[in-house]
Amino acid sequence: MGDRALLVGRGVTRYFGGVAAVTDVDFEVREGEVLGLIGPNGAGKTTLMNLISGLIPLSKGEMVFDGRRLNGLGPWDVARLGIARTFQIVKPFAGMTLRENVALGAMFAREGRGVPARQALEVAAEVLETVGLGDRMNAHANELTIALRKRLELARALALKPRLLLLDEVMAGLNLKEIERLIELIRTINASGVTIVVIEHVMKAIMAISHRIVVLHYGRKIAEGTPEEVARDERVITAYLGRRFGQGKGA
Amino acid sequence: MSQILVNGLLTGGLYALVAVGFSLVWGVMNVVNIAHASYIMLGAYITYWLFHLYGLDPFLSIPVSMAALFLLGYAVGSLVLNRVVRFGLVMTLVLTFGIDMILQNGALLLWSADYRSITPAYAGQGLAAGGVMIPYVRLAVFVLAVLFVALFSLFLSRTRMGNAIKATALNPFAAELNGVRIQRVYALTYAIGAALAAAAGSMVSVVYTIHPQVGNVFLTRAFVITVLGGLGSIPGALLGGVILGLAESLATVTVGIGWSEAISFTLLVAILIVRPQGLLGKRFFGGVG
Amino acid sequence: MNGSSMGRRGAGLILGAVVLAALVLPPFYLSGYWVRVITGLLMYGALASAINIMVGLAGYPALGNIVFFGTGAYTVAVLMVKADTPFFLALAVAGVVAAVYAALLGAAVLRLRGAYFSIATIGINHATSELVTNLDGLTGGGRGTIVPFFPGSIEAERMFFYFLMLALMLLATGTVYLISRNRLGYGLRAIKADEQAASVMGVNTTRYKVLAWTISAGLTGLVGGAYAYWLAFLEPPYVFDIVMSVKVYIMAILGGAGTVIGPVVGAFFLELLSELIWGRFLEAHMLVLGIVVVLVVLFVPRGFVDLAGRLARALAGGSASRRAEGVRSDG
Repeated sequence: MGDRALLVGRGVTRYFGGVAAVTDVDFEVREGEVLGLIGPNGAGKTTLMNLISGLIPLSKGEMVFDGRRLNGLGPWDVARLGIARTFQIVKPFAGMTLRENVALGAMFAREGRGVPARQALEVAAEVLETVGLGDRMNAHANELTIALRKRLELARALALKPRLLLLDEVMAGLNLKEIERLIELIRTINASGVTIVVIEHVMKAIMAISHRIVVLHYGRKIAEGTPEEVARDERVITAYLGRRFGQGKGA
Repeated sequence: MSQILVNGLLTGGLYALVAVGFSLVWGVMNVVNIAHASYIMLGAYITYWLFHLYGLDPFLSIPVSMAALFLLGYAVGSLVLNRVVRFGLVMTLVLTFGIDMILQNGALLLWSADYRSITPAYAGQGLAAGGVMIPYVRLAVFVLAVLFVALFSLFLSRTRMGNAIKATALNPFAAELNGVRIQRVYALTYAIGAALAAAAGSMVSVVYTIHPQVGNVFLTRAFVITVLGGLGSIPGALLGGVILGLAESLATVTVGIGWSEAISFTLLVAILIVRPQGLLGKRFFGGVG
Repeated sequence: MNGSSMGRRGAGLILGAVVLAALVLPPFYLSGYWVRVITGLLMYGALASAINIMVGLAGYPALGNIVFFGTGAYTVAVLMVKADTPFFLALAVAGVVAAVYAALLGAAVLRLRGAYFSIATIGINHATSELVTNLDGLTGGGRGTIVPFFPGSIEAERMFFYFLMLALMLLATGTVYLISRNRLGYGLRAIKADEQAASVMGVNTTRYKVLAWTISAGLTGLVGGAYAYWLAFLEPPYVFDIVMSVKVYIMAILGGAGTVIGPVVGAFFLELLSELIWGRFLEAHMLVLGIVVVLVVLFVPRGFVDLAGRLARALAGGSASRRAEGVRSDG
C-alpha cells in the first residue's frame, strides 16, 4: 500500500432541495488501501458514494481520480475510468443469466479494456468462478439467495476491472458465516491490487478489513484515522452513542 | 376579447370534468385509461337517445348515463382490468386501448358514423351582457361540471369509500394491511371514473355534435390536463381545464382552428419533459410529494 | 456435446433453407390477392421488428412509433412529387430523415420512462400528423397527395413490392439479431432491467437509448417510405394511424418482445388473422381486432416465444428434474 492518493475530494457538498446531505467533506483514498466509511443512519455515506460514482452531480467542491476531474462526468464515464460499485439494495439485471450479468461488466470495462460480447462471456465465467458462483452461471438472479446475489453484484463490479471498488453495505442481511467468507473475498480482491471503499454497518467487519476509516455525521466528516484511532475518538463515540458517553474530554 | 375569455372559461369547466375521472383512475390504479374516450361517447349517446326517443331533457338524463356507465365500469374493472393491473402501466394502457376499440366500433356498427345533435327548446337562448354572449346551455354545463368536480372532491374527503380510495392511491400495501380490499377499491374507482366520464359525455352531447369518435378529442384534453394539473389532483384538473380552454380559445382566433390540436399535443409533450409532476407539483389530491 | 451442436447446426441450416424458400417462392406461385396479403405481412413483420428494438430490448414502450412511418412515407411522397427524386434515393432519404427526427427528439423525450414516455410518443405522433396536415402547400394537407405510380406491369409491380418489403423485413430482423448479440444489445437489456445499475456498469444510457430509437425510427421510416410508393396515395390519418401503431406494438408483445423472431411471428399471426376477419366481418373488423388486443393482454402477455419455451420446459420437466436428482445423489 502506497501513500499516493488515488481519489481526492475537496469541499464535496451536495444539497437536496436546500437540505445539505453532504457538507464540505475533504477526503482522500490512497492507492491500494481499504477505506471504511462509517457513520450513523442518514450521515450521508451513500450520498457520498453516489457522488463519487456520478449518479448525482456535486453541488459544490470537486473530486479528482488519478489526476482526472470527475465533476460533470456521467456514471458511465466514471465506471470506464475504473471506478466500480455495488448497491445497498442489489440491482441484478432481470432477464439475464448470471453469466450475462457479469459479462456486461467485461464488455464495458475500463477504457480500452472492454471486449466484444462473445469474449466477455468467457471473462464472466472466470470472474464468477473467483466469487464462488462458477456452478450457477446459467441461473437467473432471482433464483439466488440474498448472500449469493451480493456476490453476483460483486462479480459484476469486478468484471469492470476497476482500480477503485465502492462497496455499499455488501454484508447487510448476511449471517456470520457468510460475512466471514465475504471478508475473505474482499481481502483477496484488495490483495490483487484493487483499492476499496466500504460502507458497512457491521462494525466488527469494517474494523477488521479497513486500513483507515472516515466517519461522517450529519453530512460532515468528524473523524479520520486508523480503526484504533477512530474507535477512541470522542466525537465518534458521541455521534454513535449520544452525548452522555462522549463528555469525558473533547466535546 | 372578453368573449374569447368567456368561451375559454366555459369550455375549461367541461374539460375539468372530462379530466377528473381520467386523472382519478390514473392516480389511484396507475392505469392510463384509454377507454375513457368511449365512456364519454356512451354517456353522450345515452343522453341523445333518451332525448330523441322519450323527449327526456338532456340535463335530467345525466343520472341515468352515470348509473349505466358506473355499472359498465364496475364490470370492466372487476372482470378484466383487475387481472392485468399487476402487469404494469403499459400493458393496461394497451388493454384499455383494446376495450376502447371494441366500444367505439360497436357504437359505429349500432349507430353509424352519422353526426347527431340535441336541440332542446332553449337551445338558442342566452345571456347578453356587455357585448358578451353566454348561451344558457353552456352556462348550465359549466356550472354543473364544476359542481360535479366539487361533489367528487367532497366524496373523496368525507366518505369512508373516498378515504379508502385515497389510502389505496398513496400506498396500496399499507391500505391492504389496514383492511382495505384493493380489488374492490380498484373496481369502484374504475366505475366512478366511468360515471364521471358519462356525466361529461351527457353534457358534451348538449354542446357539441356527437359521433362514435367524439370521445377521442376529449381524451386528448384529459391527457393534457392531467399532465398539466398533476396526476390525480382535483384543483390541478380545474386549473388545467381552464388553462387549456383559454389557450385553445386564443389559439382559434390567433393561429386558426387547424393548429389547435397541434398546439395541444406539443404542449403535452413539452410539459411532460419539463414538469412531469404537473404545474401544481402535487401528486395525488394534494397528498405526499 | 459436439455431436449434438453439429446436429443442431445442420438442422438450423435445413430450417433456414426451408424458411428462405417459403419467403422467396410465393410471388411466383400464388394469386395476386395472396401476394398482396403476404406483402402486408412482411411489412408488419418489418415494423414489429423495428419497434422491438425499443420495446423488447431497451424496454421503452414507444407506442407512437408510427410517427416515423408517417414521416418516412411523407418524405418519399414529397421528394417524388415535388423534386422528381428517383424512388430509391427518396427511400434512403426517408430512412435518414426519420432517424434524425428520432435522434433530435430522443435526447429530450427519452428522459421519460414507462407510460409517460408512451404518451409523449403518442403526442409527438399527433402533433406531427397535424403539422403535416397544416403544411398543405408541401404535403397536400388533409386532401392527401398522390405519389407517382410504379412504372411497369401489374405483375412487375407485385413482384417489386413483395421483394422490397421482404428485403426490409430481413433488414429489420437482421438488425435486431445483430444488436442483440453485441454490446449494444446487452447494454439495452441492462437498461431495460435497471437503468441506474446499467449506468454504473459503464453503459452510456443516454447515448444507447437515443441510438436504439434512431435505429428503430430509421427502419420504420424506410418501411413507411416503401408503403407510400406501394399505396400511391397518402393522407395523414393513414400513415400517422395510432391504431396501426398499437397493432404493431401488440404484434411485438404477442410474438415475444425482446426475442429476435417473436415479433415477426406475432406480426404474421395477427395480420393473417386480421385479413381473415377482414374478409368475413367487413364491418366489425376493428371491433374484432379490439377483442384480439384484449385477449392477447389477458392471456399471452409474455408472448408466443415465452409460451413455447414454457411448454417445452413443462414437457421436458419430468426428465430434467430426474437428471438433477441424479447429479445430487452422485455428489
